[in-house]
Parts: sequence; structure tokens; C-alpha cells
Amino acid sequence: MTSYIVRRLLYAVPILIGVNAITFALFFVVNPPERMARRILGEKNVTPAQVQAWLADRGYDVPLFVNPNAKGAGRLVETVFFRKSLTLLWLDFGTSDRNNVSIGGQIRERMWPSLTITVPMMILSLLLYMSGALLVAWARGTYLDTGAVIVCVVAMSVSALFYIVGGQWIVSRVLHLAPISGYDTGLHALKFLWLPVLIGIVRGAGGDIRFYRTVFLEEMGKDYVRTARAKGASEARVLFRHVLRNALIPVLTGVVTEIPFLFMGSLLLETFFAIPGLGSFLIDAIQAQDFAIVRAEVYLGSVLYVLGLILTDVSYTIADPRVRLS
Amino acid sequence: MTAAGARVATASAVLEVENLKTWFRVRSGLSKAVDGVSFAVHPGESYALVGESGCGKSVTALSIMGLVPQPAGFVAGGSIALEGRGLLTLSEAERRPLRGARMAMIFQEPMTSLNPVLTAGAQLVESLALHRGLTGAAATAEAVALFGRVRLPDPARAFDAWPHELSGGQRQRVMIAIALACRPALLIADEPTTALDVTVQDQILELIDDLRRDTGMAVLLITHNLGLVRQTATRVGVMYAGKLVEEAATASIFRDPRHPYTVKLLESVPTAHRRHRALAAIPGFVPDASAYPDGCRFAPRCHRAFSVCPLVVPRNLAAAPKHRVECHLYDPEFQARALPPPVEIAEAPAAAAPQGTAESLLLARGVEVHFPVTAGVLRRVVARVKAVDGVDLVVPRGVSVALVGESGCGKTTLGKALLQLIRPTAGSVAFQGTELTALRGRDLKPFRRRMQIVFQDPYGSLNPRLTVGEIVTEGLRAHGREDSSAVDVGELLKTVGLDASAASRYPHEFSGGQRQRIGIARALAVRPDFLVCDEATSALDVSVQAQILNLLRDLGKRLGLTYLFITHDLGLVEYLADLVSVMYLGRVVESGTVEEVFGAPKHPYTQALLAAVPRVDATGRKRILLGGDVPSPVHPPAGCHFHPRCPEVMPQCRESYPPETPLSTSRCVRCFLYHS
Amino acid sequence: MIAPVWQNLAVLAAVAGASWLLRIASTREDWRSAWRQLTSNRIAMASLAVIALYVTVGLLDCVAWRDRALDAGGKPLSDPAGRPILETRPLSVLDRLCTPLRTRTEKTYSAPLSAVQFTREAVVRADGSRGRDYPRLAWPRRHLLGTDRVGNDVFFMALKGTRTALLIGGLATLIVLPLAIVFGLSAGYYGKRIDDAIQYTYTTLSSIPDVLLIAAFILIFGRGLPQLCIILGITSWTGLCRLLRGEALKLRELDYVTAARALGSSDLTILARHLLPNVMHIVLISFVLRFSDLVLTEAILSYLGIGVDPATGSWGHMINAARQELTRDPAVWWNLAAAFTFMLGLVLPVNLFGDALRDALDPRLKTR
Repeated sequence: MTSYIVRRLLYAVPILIGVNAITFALFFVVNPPERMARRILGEKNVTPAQVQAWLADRGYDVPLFVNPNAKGAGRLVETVFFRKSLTLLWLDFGTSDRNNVSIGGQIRERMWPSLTITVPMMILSLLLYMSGALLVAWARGTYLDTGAVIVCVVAMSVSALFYIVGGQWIVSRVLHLAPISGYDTGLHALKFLWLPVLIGIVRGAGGDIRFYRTVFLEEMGKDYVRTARAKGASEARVLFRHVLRNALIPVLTGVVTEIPFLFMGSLLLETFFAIPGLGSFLIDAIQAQDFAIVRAEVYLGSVLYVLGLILTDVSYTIADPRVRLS
Repeated sequence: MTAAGARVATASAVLEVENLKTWFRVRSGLSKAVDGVSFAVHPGESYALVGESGCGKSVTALSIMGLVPQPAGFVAGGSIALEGRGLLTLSEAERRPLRGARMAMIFQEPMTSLNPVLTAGAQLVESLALHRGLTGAAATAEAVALFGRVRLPDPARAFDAWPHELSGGQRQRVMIAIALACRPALLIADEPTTALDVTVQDQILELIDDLRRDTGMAVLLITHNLGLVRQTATRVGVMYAGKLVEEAATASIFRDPRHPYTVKLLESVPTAHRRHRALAAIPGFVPDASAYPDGCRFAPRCHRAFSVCPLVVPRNLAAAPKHRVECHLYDPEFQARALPPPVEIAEAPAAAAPQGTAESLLLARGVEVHFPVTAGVLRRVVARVKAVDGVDLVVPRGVSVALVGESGCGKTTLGKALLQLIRPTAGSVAFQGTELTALRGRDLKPFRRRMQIVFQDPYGSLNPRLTVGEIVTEGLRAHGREDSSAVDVGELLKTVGLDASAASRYPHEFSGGQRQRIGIARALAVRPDFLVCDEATSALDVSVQAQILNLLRDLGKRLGLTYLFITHDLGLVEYLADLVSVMYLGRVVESGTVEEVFGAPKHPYTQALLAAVPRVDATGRKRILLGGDVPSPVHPPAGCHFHPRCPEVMPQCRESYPPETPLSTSRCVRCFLYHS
Repeated sequence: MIAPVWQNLAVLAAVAGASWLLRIASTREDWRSAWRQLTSNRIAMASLAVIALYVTVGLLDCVAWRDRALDAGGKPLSDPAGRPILETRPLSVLDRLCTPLRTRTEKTYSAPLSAVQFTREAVVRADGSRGRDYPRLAWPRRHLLGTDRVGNDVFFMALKGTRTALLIGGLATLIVLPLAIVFGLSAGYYGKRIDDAIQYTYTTLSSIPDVLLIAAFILIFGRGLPQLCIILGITSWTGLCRLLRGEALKLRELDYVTAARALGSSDLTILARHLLPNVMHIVLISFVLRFSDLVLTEAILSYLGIGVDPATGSWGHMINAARQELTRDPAVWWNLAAAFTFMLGLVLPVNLFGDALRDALDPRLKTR
């Protein structure tokens, strides 16, 4: 197992290097630091000296790849590529462009509010969707099934924005059941959080219940289900002992892929409900044109994605006896 | 029914099926898969339902178990009684305790019939708990005992094994153990060995037979394999188009078949003594279950059909004591109007086996195809699958050569390697003296035209998005002869027995046999000398297989083709081939003329293989039961690959692979028994 | 903004291309039989009709030209050299057809079919007294879905959003298809190094979360329809590419491909004649299902401020505006309702049609 995980981690290295190359190209080659500085300082009424000072202040005042003025290893180290891009590989995110605060520190601070929304949302939605899908699969071929599928398709055709805008309006403004937005620490957070979590669950229900139903029905068509019936197993037994276990494999591994993204929070929910998580951090950075933060989040997102892939592979080997580590 | 005397419902019958009708709602109306079937099975009896695909035999079995796919399928009429208790009037809740307890079923696909995420033991214990209330240690002990009874090699280990860790034969044993868990009165075996290798099939059949004798349960065997019926069944029911057309004791059916369908079915099986004669093919194919012809459903294909047949539905009659048949030929009312059987125009057998020229068309020496198994980040080669491991093969011009062996022995890979569709990793393949393995791209192209291949799967071998005309002219296009008018597509289609109008239609509009004809036409379009038939008929029903074999035989003579048959059907080899090579785990263990090898097999594997194949024309043969399964070609056993299963194994067999021992000019064997 | 001439030519080319593809498909029996199956599906046909309506509106809004500018007296203006002066903004066919909707603007908000303005202001009443009241609208009871903050007809604005939604879905797909088909099929068919390289490329690209890549791209290249289409294309091709690679891996092993090789057909012939036609149904299904995703994504991105520029009409912008409007008392709900109706009206039929299409072409592809 350990050697397998190590091998999977090694697979991730070239991918992360590739991501690093893409972000570098996007943020420094296509959009050189001088241009960045001008956009932040304002296009007009800015002197070249001000731009240079800004660049020097943030360590952008060196060549991109090779520094002919430095000596030895410094030729490569004293460059934008090394200072700003390569450092990401060991998760050193540097400081923000606009107000020079530590991005790493911000991320550590802001991931907790994100997690308080996403973790309960994931656990509850998995439980609710699975139960819903099981019920629908149980009633396959009946009007309940047909009706549920139609509701699911309609629900997934509605933009996430409506669930959020509509939910906030009805629950907070019309019914006054929850504060409109905001965040607090500790148990006080609960009154702010239950609405975004609920909206998050409702928003994903249509697509996921329909998908899980398909997984269940596909399993129910398989030969081993016929064997179980030939044994004299009841419909409930077939469903819970045989079908559920097999269907859980694709469902759970799909969920595992998402686990690392819990840290990233939900962009929409956080901005709507003014929750100071990583999602709203990104949106704020975009509005403020803070390239360093966006760059850091892009890279962090990729690291988490790759981590998710590895977790998925590992969870497959645990959940599915057919997948054995060689 | 009454006219012929009502079937006497014997109190002792385990299963009585009376006028069963199981229909399906389909797009085009009602599909009457089972349409009035009656039979009874008695304790200790092995009753076989035989018939071609789509005749309703599996649906009959599922109806008995109450497992007809819902909601499309439903029982439209009749009755089923298990040990005297009517099943169709029971509710699902009343019926469930009978399933798995009084009647049990095993299925065709052992690979998918077990739940992949539960251990073999857990799945057996489930049955014990459901019907016998056994749990905990008692259940485990009983399960291990049952696994021992179905002769799983290591019952305790098998208890904890996941299904994917077991071989196909072992999984089928687990299925049998589950079925036997509650000592059922009736065991339904639906094509239990079709997916297994022939030597493993033999073990499974033997096991079912022994268990039947020991426990006195009744077995309902569903199969399309007539040889297997002769070997294992005591009584036979022949199904055609949803009806039971003939029923009698096994010996009686094979000795004296009455229904023209049964007669033709038995005659269409390729065997040695039909060599050099055309097989009795039944024209056309089994009708669709949603549109049966009126009157006798077999009439449109029947060689004895007369005026009454297309009009009147035949009654169930006694043709002889305990021999029932639904055919007007035996109906006193219509008998007089029947025509005498057509005189068989006895085809003069060829004077001698076509001896071909001494010239070899294809010569293979030391052909190896090794597939690397890679692992790790750097894709290191950790092992090699030795699919083909040093094979010599000579194909003389005008001579038909057969390559036989069980699945995984490398025969298909070898066939593709000869055609350079898979590049051999070592060895040489010469076509009329030109070394092919050295040729690349453009240089190889002229030879592509001269060597063609026909595949097994009639569905996967034709591109569904092209018309038949486009498919057939593909080779001409590839060889830059766009003027397909030069070769008349219509003429080509007629050569393979299709209508010229087929050219503008799509593959899905054709039946399996017709698709195989299209595949043959595609290969013939480029006028090849050498044709590889890779299991070309094994996916077809017997009556259609006979049509295709007759076509191949006929084309071979007319066009002077040289054939390489790759097959596991030994009857086909005896019928059609001149030379044969027997493969086991990537190597040829024995080769020679068909008469030599099949007349007096030398290698213990060949002997076991020949003994294991059930034949329609032989009874009371000596059985050589092989233990175990065919090993994996990744890690073949050291020494002679066959030694772990060989009944005559000697110490030296474990040390080294036996060298080639020539026995005659045409014959070779690789076994230490014959190595002086 | 693309110059109107080029834009019009592009629309013409797209329509010509689509009808050419349809013509080819109509000669192939397999597509015809799928079509016959679809026509017997009432939901699919109704969905198709609604989609066609949207496409018509979108196309009408794509063909545009600029008018001669007029002086106060209504005479055409010319520059000193005598060349005609044109209006700065081109007007589309839709604008021209909806001239009453476009030009009948109010001062600010008004509820659907209302006769009076939503807000009170100082008015001179009929009896000459002054006070604060809801003034009568310039076009009372003519605004089906009311007017927005600057008095534009909401129904008209929602119609204008159609073009953006369709363009995003359509153009992004035009980028996706060639990339996914070429790379997916060659990776699956050739295998080995080519497969490794292509797999590495799409794994790396897809490992950057879509929304982050889009954010970065838009931040650097600015907001706008073309940029958005390009980046959505880049983030979307990997999924289809992976699907097609898997399919090509399977097809490559099929006997008819082996037969083609045995007959001496070249790799290109095999790719074009045997592989491509057998994956086209997957391409089509995933195009339709991806389309509805893209429409929903566009609204979210516009809302987040990384979508199309604010000058381009978009349902996302309408929802964005609705956020403030709902805080008013009483709430201004019609902007949101209009965007909701128009989006659901497009996405739901597309989803329903996609499902029907999948059933007709390939029931195996149930999971996505």
C-alpha cells in the first residue's frame, strides 16, 4: 500500500510541473509584471519610477528566466520564474500584490469557514441523495419513479444562482428565519450556516439523485442480481445487501475526489452569504486584480485536484476487491 | 392433446409444466418466446431442453423459477407444478421460499453471476441462512463442506476468496454449491458450461451428474449443444419457435429422430464420417418470436413440408411409445397426403484427401508473440505474456490446416501474427518464399491482398455505419482500385449466397449467418490465396453453421483457396481440415494429418481434449478427466506446460520442455513419452 | 465587438455548415432511423421546437448592420468629404423587429403590465397640485415583464440574453470538437507515446479547476464574449477527449478495424471511415448535454464578474442586478423572474432533448 501511494505521488510530480508551467506562462509571459503593475497602480498618471519601485518592492524586478547580472546559481535563482513560480511547488505562496500580506497565512485562516460549509454539505447531501435514489430505484417503473426523474431534470435545469438568490430572499427576507448574510465563530456560526448548507444540498439534488438512480438501475440489471433472486432473496435484501454495496463503489469514489475541494469552499455560497472563506477570497482577489492570490489559488486547486485523484485510486483499492495493488 | 391421450400426470414428477405460455411486450407487439410448452421431469432424471438460440428454452427455465424479466415479460397461460404444488397461483412472497430451497438454478456466465464485492463463502452462507437458518460457525462449516463436495481444490481458501480470484470453472462450482445448499428437488442448469473450456466443461458436467445420482434430484439441462445432450441427458425435449416439437428418451432421439427439424439438426453437425459431403443445412433461420408463421412454425424451412403444414397447427402425437412429436407426418389424419422423403443425392466422396502440392504457401518457423507486462513509473517490463512461444507451422497450398486448442492457448494470436496483424516478436513467417516479418507498410501491402481473415463475431466484424456494398469493396479501395465496377459487387454477393440488392443495405438488417457471408465476401473481394477462419462459425446456431461450412467448402474447391481454421470445435476439424496442430499454452504439442491425430492421439493433452468433447455420434467413450484449469500464459508451469494436469506425468516433465519428436513424415509430438 | 460584416459572414457560414452536416446525416440510414425514433417522442419534438425558437431569436440578433446617422431634421448625415456617416452601434434584425420594445423606454423600474412607475416622484397632478406620487408611464401596460432600473423593457433585455447564451454554447463547442476528436481518437488508436503525450496534456489541463483557470484567463485577457468562448472551450475539451479516447481504445480492437488493416487500409482511412462515424453519436450527445452546462456556467461567471462584459446583454447580468433589487421594499422581482423563465425555457428543453437523443442513439451511455 505505501509503495503504491508513493508511486501515485510520483505520478503527480510531472502534472504539477505542467500546471506550474501553464500558470507561469499565463501570469508572467502573456502578462508581464510591468503591465500588471500598471493595472494595479492605475493605467494613467503613473511614472515609470513608481512602476519600478512597485516591482522592486514585490520582487518582480528581475528577468523572467535567466539573470545575467547574478553570479553562479543566482543566475537562475534571481529570476521571476524561480522566485514566484517554482516556489509554488513547495507551497510557498508569497505575498499578495495589493497589500503585501502573506497568502499562505490567509489561506490557513480562511479555509476553516470554507470547511464549515462544505463538510456538512457533503455528508448530508450524500446521505440524502443516496436515500432518495434508493427510494426511486425501488419504485422503478412506477409513477413515483417517472415523476421523480422529471422533477430531477427540471431541478438540474435551474441555474444555481436562482437557488441561492431565491432561497436567501424567501428564507431570510420574507420569512426572517435566518440572517441575510455574515459569519461568526464557534457555535454562533450555526445560525449563519444552515441556510447556505441547505441551499447547497437542494441545488445539487436533481443531477445527483438522477445519476445515483442510474447507477442503481445499472447494477440491478446485472447477472449477480438474478443469482441473488434465484437464491430466494427478497427484494429488500437484493437492494440493500447486493446492489447497494456495488453501487457504493462508484458513488463513494466520486465523493472522495471532491474531498480536497472542500478546502476551496463554494464560490457562490461564500460570496452571497459573505462568508470569509477561500471562495470569497478568490472573488475578492479577482475584483481587486490581485494576480498573486489568483495564481496561488490556481496552483492550490491543482494540488488538491491531484490529491483527489490519488485518494480516489486508493479508495478504489479499498472499496473494490477486484482492484488489487500489484 | 386429448386425441393423443392426455399426458398422465404422474404423482412422482418433480416438475410438471403444462401448456406454458410466456410472452413479452415488445415494440412490434407481443413476442411469444414460450408458446404452449408441456413436459415433466422426474426425480433422478436429467431432462435436456435443446434448441437453437431464440427458441424459448431459457425463458422456459426463467418462468419456472419466476425470474422472467419484469415488466416486459409475463406468463400468459398454462401451469407449472413443483412437487405437485402449483407455482403460478402463488404470490411472490409464497414463492420466494421455494427458490433456492426446492428449486435452484445455475447460469451460463460464471464470470458475472457472482456478486463481485462479496466473498464466495458469504454468498453461499446467505443461501444457508435464508433457507436453513444456519449462521455463524455452523454455516461456515457447512459451506466449507459444500465447497468440498463440489470439488473446489481448497475449500477453506475458497470460502474467503473473492469471485475475481477464482477461475471460470471454480466460479461455476461455487454457483453449483449455492444451488445445492438446500438440497433442492430440481436443479435448472442453463447452458452451465457454454462459457467454459472443453476440458473444464467435462469436469462440471461430471460433477452435476454425480450429484444428481447421489442426491436423486432432478436436473433440467438447457443447452444448444447436441453432443452434450447425448452425453449427459436421460430424456430430451427439442424446442423450436416457442414450442416443444419432439420429446423422447435420449437414445431414442439420437437413434431415430422423428421431427424433420430434429433430423436435420442432427445431420447438420459436422463430424468425421460426413467428411467430403455437404452438411444437411436447414435453409433460412429461426423466425422472430413476434411474427411466427401460421400452421407449423417449421414449415417454411422444412424439407418434408406438404400441403397441410403451412395451414394447420400440428398436434402433439405419440410417434412411438414414450416418443412424442408435433408433426403432421405422424398424424393419421394427414399422413396420407405427405410426400415421400426426397431422395438424398449422395454426393460422391472425393476419391482421396486433396493432397495439395508439396509447395508450401505459408511457412512459419519459431514464431513468438510476447506481450510485455509493464509496471511502475518507468514502465519496466516485469513479465511477458508468452501468447505464442515458438511455433512452427507449414501450410501447403490447397490444403486445409486446423489450429485447435482451448481459450488462451494462443491460437488466435498466432493466426493474427501469421497475417502480420500482430507483429511477431521473434521467428519468421514466409509467404511463398517472401519473408513477411521484415516488410513494412507499402512493401507489405501486396501481401495483405493475398491473405485474408474471417472473424468469429458476426456483430463486431462489420462496421455498422457502412453499407454492405461499402464494406465489401473496402479492400478494393485500399488497393487503389476505386472502380469497384471492375469487380461486380452483386456478383460477389451472389457467390456467398446473398442477393445482389444487399449492397445498399446496412449490416443490422441481416441475421448472424448472413453477416458471416458478408464478412466472407469482404475477404474474397481482393481474391486472396490464403484465408484464415478464426472461429468463423462458432457464434452461429448449428443449422446456420452448416450453411456457412458448406459455403466455405464449396468456395475452397471453386476458387482454390487454402484455409487455416482456428477453432475449438473438433467436429469441424474432422469434417473439413486435412492437417491439424494442437496448441497448449502458446506451443504446438502435437501435429499431423487429421486421420493420424484424431485416430490415434499421442499427446496426453490431445487424448484428454478428444475425450472431453461431447459428440453426437459417439457414446460410451472412455472419459479422461483432467484436473484443474488452463494455467495463465504469464507464468506457465516450468518444464512441460501440461505437466500439472497430465495423467502420465514423469519426473523429467517438470524439468524441461520436451523436444519435438517426429513420428512420421507428417506427424510430430512434443512429449517425453515418445522421446527415446 | 466583431465588425458587423464579419459577424454576418460567420453566421452565414455557421448556418451553411450546419445544414451541410444535416444533409449528410439525412443520407445515412443510421441517423435517419435515430431521427424516426426521435420524431415519435413527443417530449423530444416539443423540446426541439422550443430550441428552434431560441435559435431563431439568437440568429436574428446576430445579423446586424449600421444605419446612416440622421441629423436633428431627419436627414442623413455625411462627413465633409461626402461619405455617409454611420451610427456607432449596429442594430441587429432582432433590434429592428422589436423596435417598439427597444425604443419605448421608461425612466426607471415599473412592474409587469403596470400603468404607473414603481417609484414615487414629485409630480404635478391633474388638478394642478404638487406632491409625490407614482407617475404614469410613457407606455402604460405595454411592458410585459416590466422595466429595469434604467427603464429598458425587461422582456426585450431577456430576448437579447438569448444570443449570448447561444453564442457561448455554440462557439465553445466549435473549439471543443476538433480538439477532442483529433486528440481523443489518435490517443486511443495509436496508443503508446502519442497516447502518453495526449493523456499528460489533458490530465494537466483538467487538474486546474475550471473556475480558477477561467478566472485567471479573464483577469489577464479581460472580459468579453470571445475570450470567454475560448477559455470555456479550453476547459471543456478534456472531458470529451477522455471519453473518445476510451471509445477509440475499444473500437480499435473490434474485428472490422482488424479486417480493414488486413485489407491494407491506411491508418487515416481507418480513423475516418471506421472510428469517426462510430463515435459521432457520442460527440453529438455530449455536445447537447454540454450545451446546457455552458449556458448555466455563463450566467454564474457573469454573476461572479468573470463572464461577458457588462455591455453585452446576459441573463447572468440580469440575475446580478436582481440581487440588489430584491433588497428593495417591495421587492423588484421581475428581472429575476424573466431571467429564470428564459433560462429554464432553454436549458430544460435542451436537457430533455439530450436525454431523448441519448436514448435514440446510444442507450448504453446512461451515465455521464
